Amino acid sequence: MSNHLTDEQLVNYAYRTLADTQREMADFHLARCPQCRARLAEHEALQRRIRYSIMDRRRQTSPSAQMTFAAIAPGLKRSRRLIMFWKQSNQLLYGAITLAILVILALGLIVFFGNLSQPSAGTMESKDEPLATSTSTAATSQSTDTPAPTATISVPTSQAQISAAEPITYIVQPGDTLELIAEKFGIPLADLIRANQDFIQAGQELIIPVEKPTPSTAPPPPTGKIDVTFGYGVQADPRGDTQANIEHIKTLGFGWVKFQMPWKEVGPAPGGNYIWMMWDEAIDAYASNDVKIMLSIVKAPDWARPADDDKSVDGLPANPANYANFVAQVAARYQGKVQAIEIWKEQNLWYVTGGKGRIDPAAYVQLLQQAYLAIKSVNRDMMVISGGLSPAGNVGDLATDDIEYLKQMYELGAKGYFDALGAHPSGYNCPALADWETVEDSTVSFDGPFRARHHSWCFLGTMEGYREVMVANGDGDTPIAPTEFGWGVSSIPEPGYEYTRDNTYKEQAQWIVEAYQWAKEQGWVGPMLLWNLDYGVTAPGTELGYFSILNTPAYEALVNMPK
Amino acid sequence: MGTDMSNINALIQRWQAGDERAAEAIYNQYRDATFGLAYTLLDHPADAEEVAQDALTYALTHINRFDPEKAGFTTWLHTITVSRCRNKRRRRYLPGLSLMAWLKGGGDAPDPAPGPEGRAIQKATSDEIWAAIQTLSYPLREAILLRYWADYTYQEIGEILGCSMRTAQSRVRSAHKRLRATLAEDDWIKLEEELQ
Repeated sequence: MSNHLTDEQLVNYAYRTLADTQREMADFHLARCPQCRARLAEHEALQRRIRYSIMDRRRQTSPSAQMTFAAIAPGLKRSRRLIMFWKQSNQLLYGAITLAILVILALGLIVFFGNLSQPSAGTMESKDEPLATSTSTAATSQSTDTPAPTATISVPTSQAQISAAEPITYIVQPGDTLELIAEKFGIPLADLIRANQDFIQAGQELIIPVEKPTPSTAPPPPTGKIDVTFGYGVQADPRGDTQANIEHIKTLGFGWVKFQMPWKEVGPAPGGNYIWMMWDEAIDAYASNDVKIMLSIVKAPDWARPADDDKSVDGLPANPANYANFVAQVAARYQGKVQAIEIWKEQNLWYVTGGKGRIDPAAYVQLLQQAYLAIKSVNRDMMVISGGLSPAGNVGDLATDDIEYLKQMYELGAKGYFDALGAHPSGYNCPALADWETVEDSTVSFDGPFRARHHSWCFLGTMEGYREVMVANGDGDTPIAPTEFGWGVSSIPEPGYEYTRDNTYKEQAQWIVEAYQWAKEQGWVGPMLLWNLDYGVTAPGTELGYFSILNTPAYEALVNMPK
Repeated sequence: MGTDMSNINALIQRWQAGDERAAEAIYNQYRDATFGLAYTLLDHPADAEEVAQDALTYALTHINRFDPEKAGFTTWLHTITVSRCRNKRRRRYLPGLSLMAWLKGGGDAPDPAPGPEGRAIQKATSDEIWAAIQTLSYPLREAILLRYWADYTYQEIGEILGCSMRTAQSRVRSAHKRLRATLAEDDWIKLEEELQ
């Protein structure tokens, strides 16, 4: 092969900046030249690593607690008033000009019909109207601009009328003042202000910071657990194409969707100013199409975390009551729309628990207990699922063996505080029904499952291992909900995902189907959520995409799977 | 993306009509991303926070100038952020810019021989690549960061940086080539240290 591609051409090719004809020529050469293919692969590997490094950096950084809206609000209000003032001045000016023109016209008419007996006062009055209208508009816009509480006080909603399901938020009514609302709920005004803003508007949702009981030992869980049955589901990107994803779930014949809801995105600042918008939209859309929704609520905002933990990774809150309060808000807000909440996830790993050496089953069990009680106090029908543990062995201060962790959870009194036990039974590069003690495959490049045998390499090893612990703890009536499972496929994986190189799309399809079929027969498996539907489209080229089933044979296989 | 966009446009309309809660919602939705972009560009947390607050204040104050027909809100906000980062950088760094940095930034190095860089690339960690990105000249850094930080198209990168699409493409490619050379160089240095 003569005329090898130059580095310049290869980089052009990798970055997709070649013109069509040049690209076709390059394709023609690459199809026949292994050397150039290898050089291209090298460029593409660097390209991926650059991308990965930048995204990694992006994931790791977040602003300090000082960067808040409150810090810019006063300046913003001033500039806004100035702009409004100009608008009003203009309106007045236009009004005045209109009036002047009309007066001149009227005078002209009067002069023209000079011998009319008297100028009509009625006509003059009607010509006053534009001015009157413009001033009243100005007055209205000003009243929304400056939120001065009015003297007319009426509270149409009595405390008894506020639904027991939503004890912590309150919609401001016309005529309300902060003082009045504080009095109504019997809380100090300062607390109410601290939890909200220093001014209010009708229709606004207020947080009522009523103290919740937070005893050091959790009260016993309410009796009468909810009925958890087997179900098919898939995790989707909440920012993905909602309508398309609903269609896909219907086509797959699935009933559930799961989203990860990061607490730090919904409540980035203390004081209960939540950003629900995106979630309201997505949840309404899925719920109105009868798709059951599971939310995995993770990632404490910085303000709620201990001062001394590692902020470059995600972490648990310093006070579990803050998390309990947040998940209760979610349970109340989406009553009848969201059916299940998963309390954290993979809490046996360092990077979701605030840094190296901070994995702490006792802290997690407290979080689980308080969250369970808070959710049930506002919405008894909400299924509470314990955070799916990561299938892992003991790795220094980075990871705790998931089965050991589960045993500790029971020792610490977690029993009764979840309707289903969450699990993440990944299969790595082992077939769905493989036995972890005997699995063998000479064709694979990643030999972890055979070199260091452990239950967590295999789907069944994790599922049956957890079941054993639950039965031993007298909790055999509580089902396991696999809230994340699946097999990844990639020809050039990111570091840490090397095992995905061994899997083919055909195996991925076959193993997912086998796992579902097996689980359906057990009688102790609850909703089973595949990881994942559409990240291959919304986050192409990332490790999330390796597990995405959109446009893969797995999708077809799941459509045709008997359910 | 579809739901997100309709969302932000509704918020913008509400804020244009004077609803302050909408301004706060916009702020909260873009706070982390704006800071993140400034931080990747400046690599200095305090400066990044100042610039991000500045950019958000400007965008919210001048919300009436935003034209959804012309560009997405995110692109508009990022254009403001990029421009403020440039100002900040000019004030902070230009007087101290060394001759070496200028020399390193300009011109195209010849393609190094294939071989060692393969190893370097395989061994380079995310942090090493980040360190190499910091040695790029500022225009190249802007281009490659925008390409991957938010997956912008070359067209969008051109719009944000105020250059043509072709220039955006060529800057991204130059950044790649320079990073490749830098990483290979680092690897040779390491190899020599090991041998000594």
